[in-house]
Amino acid sequence: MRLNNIKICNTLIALLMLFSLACCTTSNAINQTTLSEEQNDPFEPYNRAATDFNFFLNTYLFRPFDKAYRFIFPETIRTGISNFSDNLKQPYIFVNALLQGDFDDSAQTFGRFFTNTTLGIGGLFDVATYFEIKAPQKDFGQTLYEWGITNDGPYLVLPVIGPSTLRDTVGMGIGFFIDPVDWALPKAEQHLLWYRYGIQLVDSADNMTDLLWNIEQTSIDPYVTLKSYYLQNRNKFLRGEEAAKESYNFSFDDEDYGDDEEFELE
Amino acid sequence: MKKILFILCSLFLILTSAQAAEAPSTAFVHQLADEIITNVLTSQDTQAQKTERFEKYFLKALDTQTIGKFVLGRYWRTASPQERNDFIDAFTDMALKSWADKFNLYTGQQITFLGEQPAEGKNQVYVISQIQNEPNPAEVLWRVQEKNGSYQIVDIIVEGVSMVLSYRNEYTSFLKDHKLPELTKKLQEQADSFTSSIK
Repeated sequence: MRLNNIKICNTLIALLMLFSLACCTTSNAINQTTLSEEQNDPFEPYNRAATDFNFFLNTYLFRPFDKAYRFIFPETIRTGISNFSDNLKQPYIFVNALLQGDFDDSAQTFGRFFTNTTLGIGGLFDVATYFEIKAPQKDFGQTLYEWGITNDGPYLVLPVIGPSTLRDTVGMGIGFFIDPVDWALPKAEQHLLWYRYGIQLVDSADNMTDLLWNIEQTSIDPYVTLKSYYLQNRNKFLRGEEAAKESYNFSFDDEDYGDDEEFELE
Repeated sequence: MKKILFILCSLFLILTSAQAAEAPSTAFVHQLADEIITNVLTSQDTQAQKTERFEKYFLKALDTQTIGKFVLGRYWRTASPQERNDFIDAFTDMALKSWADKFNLYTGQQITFLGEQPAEGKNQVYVISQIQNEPNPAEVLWRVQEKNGSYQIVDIIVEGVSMVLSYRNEYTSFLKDHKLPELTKKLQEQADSFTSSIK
């Protein structure tokens, strides 16, 4: 498939998602304070199937692949690949920082990309961290949050990619288009993007595979555990330490804490 | 006069350095982390010795009674004493193996302690630490409870993810359609089949 087709495909998906997001924000707005578990996870049967599929992929594809990857390449090379992959994300982070009006983070990101691309030889070395340049993390789901879509929408698990929410999935879809790296490539060179996604996949498999395996081995319901990990972590990322503290700073004396509901976002 | 000034100065220095010293909860976690790193994670002893040592640290440092009670939520109240004990045993066994496996990911990162924050509940604080990680450090909070001058961990929060809250979600979701002995049995089976130990 040529990349132009991929882009058109992505546009359609993103538009479709944007539409469903609009629906979800209006219908959920009333229930924001009284979200019950079912409303929080209306796609549970599908989500469970997608999660099973992802755990299957992890066990039979990513984990053996990652073992071979770690065996073949020494840590220095793996770090280089990881740095290279991170560096290619910086223009996207930069654009999102700008869209969020966060000029400090956009300046840091610009400095990081410039430093690592030049001194760090195309991003293979993370010189910026040595120079104490920050590494802010931004994505378009977060930009949508900053723009006022504070309702995450239902929990949604994407095949291969993993846990998300409806808003963040839409954000990811739109994110494909606003990524400057994609636009910077001339049409004839667009096939290079496949290598980029390949490298990103290798790097995130290297980061995630152990945790997923640990969850699958130790949880009696890996679906619930992964969902719980993801939502708590994302909550901290979007809403900050204070909001995260509200969820984890429960009282041990209260047996009915959270009325026995799963962890939920507003 | 000069002498008095000198004494005052040294007194002031002593007082400020005493203030700069770690608070007891932080000192407890700091020492625990140091001991686990030296005697388990970076030790050259046999795997069996290291696993045994880790188990000792883990059981002593973690208040599994308080945690086990909380993670069952309202199902704790309706359980018989025998069911409670069985659950705590199976839960402890599972948590121990799961955390041993997580600690295996340690590859020599620095851990820095950044102070404390009050936590909900009597005599509880969050000990704030950062684990070195490129390009951004990972934030780990240790919820520590003081009881009669001794300290125990009741929760570990990694990048916003509370261990105890996650266990509670997992178990209470299961208990909606199952009885507690089934949960205990399943946990024990899983703990027995999970062979990972400290490398």
